[in-house]
Amino acid sequence: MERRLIRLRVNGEEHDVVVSPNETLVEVLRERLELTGTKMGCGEGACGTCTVLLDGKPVRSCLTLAVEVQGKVIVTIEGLAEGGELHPVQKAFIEHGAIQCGFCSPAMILTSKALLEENPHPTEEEVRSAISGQVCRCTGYAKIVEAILAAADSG
Amino acid sequence: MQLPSFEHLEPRSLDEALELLAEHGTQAKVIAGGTELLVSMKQRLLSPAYLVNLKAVPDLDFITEDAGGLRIGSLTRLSALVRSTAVKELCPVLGQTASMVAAPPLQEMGTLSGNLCLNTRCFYYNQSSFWRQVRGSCYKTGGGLCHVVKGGNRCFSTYQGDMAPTLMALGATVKVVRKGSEREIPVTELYTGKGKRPLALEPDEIVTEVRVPAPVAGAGADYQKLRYRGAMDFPLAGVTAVLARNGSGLCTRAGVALTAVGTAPLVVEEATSLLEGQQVTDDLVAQVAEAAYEAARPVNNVGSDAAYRRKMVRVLTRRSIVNAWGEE
Repeated sequence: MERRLIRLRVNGEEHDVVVSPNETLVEVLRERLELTGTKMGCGEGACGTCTVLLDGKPVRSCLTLAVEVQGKVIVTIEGLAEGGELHPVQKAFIEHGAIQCGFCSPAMILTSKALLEENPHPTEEEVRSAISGQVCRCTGYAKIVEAILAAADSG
Repeated sequence: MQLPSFEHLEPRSLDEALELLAEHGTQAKVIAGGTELLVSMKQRLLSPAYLVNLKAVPDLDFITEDAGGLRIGSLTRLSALVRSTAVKELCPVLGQTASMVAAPPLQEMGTLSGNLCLNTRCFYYNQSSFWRQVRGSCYKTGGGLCHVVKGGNRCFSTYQGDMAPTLMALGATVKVVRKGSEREIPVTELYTGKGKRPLALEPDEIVTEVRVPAPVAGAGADYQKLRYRGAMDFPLAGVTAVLARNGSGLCTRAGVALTAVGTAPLVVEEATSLLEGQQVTDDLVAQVAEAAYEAARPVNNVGSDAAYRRKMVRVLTRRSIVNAWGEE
């Protein structure tokens, strides 16, 4: 298995990493780039905690090979705040108590950001549909939906 | 779970991809969206020496409209079907069905042909190697028994794709290519009906295009899916009905197809003969629903009681026909 040098563009920074073809994006983000905000849950695409934005769209980084995302714009939760200022969705999550254990929060927030960029004023049903692939085992969905709707109103 | 080792091949053209598949044969697997393949590899159900990645192959991701209908490239993401205005205008049921596959982030990854070419599934098959090693190998994993059907002499794993019944009810075809040849077959003929080897594709063949015939005037369609959760779940049963009516209120064309109730998706042939040329009455819908119930052959291998799933085929068929037919 040939290891190779790839260049990943994560949160606006270029990273050169040597990877094996069988390394997934979540493994490279967490273990090479030490961006541990992206969580590894089931590893099978079912729970959604490993969600990152790939060219603006939420995808499962546990089912994405690192070698196939060269040249793509990758955004993780670490890349949302700008100049020390939290993203409006992050602020809304804090203000509305939409965080319990926090394990699903990075994925929930990134998914919400992608939703609001495509649809700045979603209905509650659209919000619920957008996050339907993300599991919160604290089951704090009501607060999460409230926070996303509030972020939409404030934006 | 870690992926097993493999060589990652990135052909830059379709010809190059076909060349690689011809060279490596059963040693190679095609990867498109990867949402099913990579899970199977993590579970060591598959350990191909080579992955032929189609993402860099140009001209496989398109939705075009011509006199014959819609032509959809096999690498088209399910999310593209959901968003496409051409699909919304010409064949909204395709977008409706795609929107019910898994959840939005997986629709951003999964492709149309990937969904069509899903492997069959079973509680005793789609598990980690650790989980599986406790029981002996079943037919699907190279052994000689079935953990689901006592005394079963073959594999009963269930085909659970969502797109297949819709494309079959629409009368769609797929273009299948390999090095030096290509063929166009009805979606129905893509499936063998054998749980162990569900797809009628050679190791070096790939689906490159799906062709959906132009809509018939007065046509309506609907996909109904049984699942426990409103997202993520594979169908426990699924029914698509496509119906067209003429000015005098008679059904001029009917297609009803089922998924997740057997080793392959299937067209309910009797539905077409019962409905075409008739007025769609409650009694007739009940007869068609009964025919669909009779055609369904679920077994207890995908997480819900088989008898319940079969009864639900009756309900889903009725609902999809009523929705497809629309209001008087």
